[in-house]
Amino acid sequence: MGGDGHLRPQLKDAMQPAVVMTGRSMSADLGRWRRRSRRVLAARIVLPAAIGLLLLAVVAQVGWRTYMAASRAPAEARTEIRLITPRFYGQSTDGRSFMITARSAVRDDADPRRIILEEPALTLDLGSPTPTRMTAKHGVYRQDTFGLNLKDDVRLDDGAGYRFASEESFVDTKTGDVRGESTMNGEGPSGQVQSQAYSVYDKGDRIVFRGGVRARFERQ
Amino acid sequence: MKRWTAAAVTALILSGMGAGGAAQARQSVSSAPIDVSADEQQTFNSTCTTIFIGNVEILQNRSRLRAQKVTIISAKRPGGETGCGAAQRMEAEGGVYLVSDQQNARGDRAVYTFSTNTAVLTGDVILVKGKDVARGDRLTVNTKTNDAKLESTASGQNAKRRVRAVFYQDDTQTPDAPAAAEQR
Repeated sequence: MGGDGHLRPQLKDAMQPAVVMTGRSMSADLGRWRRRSRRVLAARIVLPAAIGLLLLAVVAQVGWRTYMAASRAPAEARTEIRLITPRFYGQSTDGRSFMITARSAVRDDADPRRIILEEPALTLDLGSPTPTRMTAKHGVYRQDTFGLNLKDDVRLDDGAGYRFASEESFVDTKTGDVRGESTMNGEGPSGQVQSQAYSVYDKGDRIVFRGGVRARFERQ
Repeated sequence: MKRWTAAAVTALILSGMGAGGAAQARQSVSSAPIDVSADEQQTFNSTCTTIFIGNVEILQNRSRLRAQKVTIISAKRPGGETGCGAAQRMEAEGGVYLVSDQQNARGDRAVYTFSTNTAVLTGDVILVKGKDVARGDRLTVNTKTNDAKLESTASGQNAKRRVRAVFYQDDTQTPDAPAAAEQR
């Protein structure tokens, strides 16, 4: 073929542009390749590092939550036990029986011996012809001390004609004594009385009014 | 030994207290309500006793009684009923002052019996009406009839605690007015 002579120009023509093109594009291709190579190299470093960081974050979060859960007790679900129209019976030290009723009663979760009463009513001296009766809007009865705290619109009727109204009162169901340390308005068979505090002792026989006593007696 | 003082003296005092005193007596036995203020009140239902303690002030109509302690004893209801009835007796102790429109009286102790309408003031009794003053140991007044008696425990002319009284003449008083008119 070389002797032919007619191929030589063809080769020459064919080879001539290739040599020229290779010289210019080689450097561009090489540049592109180098840039790609650098990106690939960077990705090979960055991506495993990112994966590593993510894994580390996940492990750290799991560890942190585990630690925090261990240090904080889980919130216990409140299981409120409400008694509707409950009735408590008891007896004082001198043998007098009493009864506490209410619209509802809830035992305090924090202090099981504390019973919170709604619209409580206390009857002292059950069975006697003149029982003492007390009512209020709210009350708290302590089973350990046998004390009944009455609050809001407290009313007392001693069965002998005396009626008192005050904002709060304390009844010691063990002894049957009643005392109130707030302003008291009362009325009896012979008139009215007002004082800053009052106490009832000895089965209602002795009634003491204290502080700024004002009484009015109607002459019979 | 008690010595009755001259009835004339007490009668003079009380007549001097005049119509106002009588009116006051009528008021004191009226059915008007009695207002009491004190530091403390104790009521004993079994004995029907009410005790007022500390700066006691009792007000009925325009009459006022002040004392340190006042005890009111009421009657028990008859027939075994529970509760107490009307007041029977009132005892006042400690700087007793009786104040009315016309006169003032003070003593150490006073007892008023509702059934007999009798008030007895004892101790160092001083009775004052205007400028007139009478002093003795025991003053007994029937608040219904207005009869009064001032007594002393001392006897003898030179005894220190005899009944003493000082009266001032007042020409403007009603009983003297006719006499004044006659003089003209």
